[in-house]
Amino acid sequence: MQSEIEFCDEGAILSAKEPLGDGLAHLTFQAPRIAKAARPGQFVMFYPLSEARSHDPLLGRPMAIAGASGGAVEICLSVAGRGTEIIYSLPIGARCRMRGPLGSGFSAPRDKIMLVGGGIGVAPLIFAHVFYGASASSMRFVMGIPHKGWGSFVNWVGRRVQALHVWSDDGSIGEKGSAVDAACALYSGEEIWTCGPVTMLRSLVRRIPDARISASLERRMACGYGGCHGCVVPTANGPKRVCRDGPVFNAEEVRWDEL
Amino acid sequence: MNSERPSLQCRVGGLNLRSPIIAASGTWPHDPSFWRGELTAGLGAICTKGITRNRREGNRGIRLWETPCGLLNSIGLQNSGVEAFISGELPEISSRDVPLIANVAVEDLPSLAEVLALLASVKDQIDAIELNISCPNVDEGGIAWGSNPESTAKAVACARSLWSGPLWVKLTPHACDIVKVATNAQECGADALVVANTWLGMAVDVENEIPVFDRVVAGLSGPAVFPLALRLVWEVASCVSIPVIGCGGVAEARDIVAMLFAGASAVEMGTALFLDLNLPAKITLILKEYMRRHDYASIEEMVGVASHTGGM
Ligand SMILES: Cc1cc2nc3c(=O)[nH]c(=O)nc-3n(C[C@H](O)[C@H](O)[C@H](O)COP(=O)(O)OP(=O)(O)OC[C@H]3O[C@@H](n4cnc5c(N)ncnc54)[C@H](O)[C@@H]3O)c2cc1C
Ligand SMILES: Cc1cc2nc3c(=O)[nH]c(=O)nc-3n(C[C@H](O)[C@H](O)[C@H](O)COP(=O)(O)O)c2cc1C
Ligand code: FES
Repeated sequence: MQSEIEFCDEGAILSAKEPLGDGLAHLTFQAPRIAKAARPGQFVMFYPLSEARSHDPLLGRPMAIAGASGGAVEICLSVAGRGTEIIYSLPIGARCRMRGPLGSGFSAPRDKIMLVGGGIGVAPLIFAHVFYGASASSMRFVMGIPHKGWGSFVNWVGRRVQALHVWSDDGSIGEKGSAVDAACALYSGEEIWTCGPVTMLRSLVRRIPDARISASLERRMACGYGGCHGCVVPTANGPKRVCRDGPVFNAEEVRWDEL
Repeated sequence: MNSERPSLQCRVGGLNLRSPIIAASGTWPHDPSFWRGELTAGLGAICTKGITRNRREGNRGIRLWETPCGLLNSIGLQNSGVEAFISGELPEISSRDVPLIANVAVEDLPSLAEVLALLASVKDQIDAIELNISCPNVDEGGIAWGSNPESTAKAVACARSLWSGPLWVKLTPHACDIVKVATNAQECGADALVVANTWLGMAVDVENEIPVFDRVVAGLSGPAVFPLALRLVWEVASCVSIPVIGCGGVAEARDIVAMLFAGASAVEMGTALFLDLNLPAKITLILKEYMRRHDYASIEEMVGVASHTGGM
């Protein structure tokens, strides 16, 4: 495998932007090569300038691919600091760059799947749900959010995903509880695909120990292509690079205690 | 010879390069698909990740931290060890479209001797050895070897006795007397000097009131260090007769020109590749355009120009 380079550095033009409240937004970029190759679970390194002229901030920002069709790559953004703030304030028409599609992604579903997303971690799961549309009716989608400030985002997700189960930490939208509480309540033996903060993933793996779980992990990244070894996670088979050996891992392989 | 003018071809430390831009160690994956075709355009050679006697898992905890125009890393020489490198990785990445420079991290002399003896047995698959006496991210050996002139001499002499091919030595900016370290490396048989590795830095997580890195210190690279590396190249190039390869913060064509003018014969580029993998290809075009405009026919003509013009 991996005999040819399966990603590229490509110019990307911001073609649509929908702010969704609470520092959240849905962004669409024209980036045909990446859009064509993208598969659910993969991500891009995003650079807000078309050329690497300014060096501050220096590095790209990893962003899950939330959708890819008709030459466009979609991302869901949650502002976390300086880099994501710059992305959030890009004007329509802005010329940027992306490296992608990166990473391994989810392997095609064989059986019933439950998608479990914590906060902005729903992004790659939305793509999975839309991409495997034919089997999507057998894909339940569980989403955990902090509070009702995420209402517009929930509505936006609801427009793309049927069978959406929303739980919120404060009970202001849907049932009260975390994404993990929701998953435990709804679990009926299906395979689980999940993405969210490490604490959430770890608790999901512990609370449903007999489930087959594919978890998409997050690490700080510099290159995104496997060169720097900066993004490794401890696994049963030694340290593995999230950007190239992941970001989707079989939960059994990951050493959650050391993470 | 390539008749195209200006030409980017250059001969450095026993190697013929089609471009003066070399991918620095620890920034290019050993995955085979990276060693051919499109991605190698613009590169004169590629350095491997640091290789050690035994497999190393690397450091725990956070390994990367962005700084203004720079990057702190604490990778800790994660690699599969020399034997797995030779059997599992080298056959797939050597004799591709671009020369391979094996970066060998010095831990202690007996291990170094073993690593070099093993690499010498596959000499035809390796174009040069880059002796890394400058890794800041390990507890044993590493930067300590390159910090003083005597240990530098020992490591280089050991390597020279076991490796007959091109031998490059990668210095640390933290050498107590870099000129003496450089001249010792030359006297002990180095064919070229790479100036330099990362600078020791540190970061503090102010929310959690702890150092960011488990080992506290980490290596700083990227455009932030460029002027520091340039000064070291200037200092070292003026006191050795072997070629110097400038390394540290190179991210644009004009950085390469500056390195050449200060006395470098080629450059290594690491962190900038993270920003744009097509950078070497893009930069070679701009570099050629610069050479045309300033009437330089070859890279060699540009080496050390700033030193002949006084002032500097
Ligand atoms: C595979 C992957 C997919 C991701 N997908 C999304 C997504 O779809 N939507 C989204 O909003 N965010 C996503 N993230 C998280 C996002 O990359 C970080 O929030 C972002 O890099 C923070 O940058 P900043 O400059 O705003 O924050 P700062 O805190 O100023 O960042 C400083 C440095 O830390 C790094 N960093 C900080 N937090 C994280 C983090 N959680 N993960 C990785 N690096 C971090 C930054 O990249 C940068 O190098 C993803 C991360 C990964 C690894
Ligand atoms: C993530 C990372 C890993 C590195 N690993 C090595 C290594 O294994 N051996 C080595 O000699 N230098 C290593 N270096 C240092 C680089 O090769 C280079 O000397 C340094 O980064 C300065 O150049 P730059 O500013 O162009 O990156 C590493 C640098 C980075 C950023
Ligand atoms: S980000 Fe560089 S190896 Fe993963």
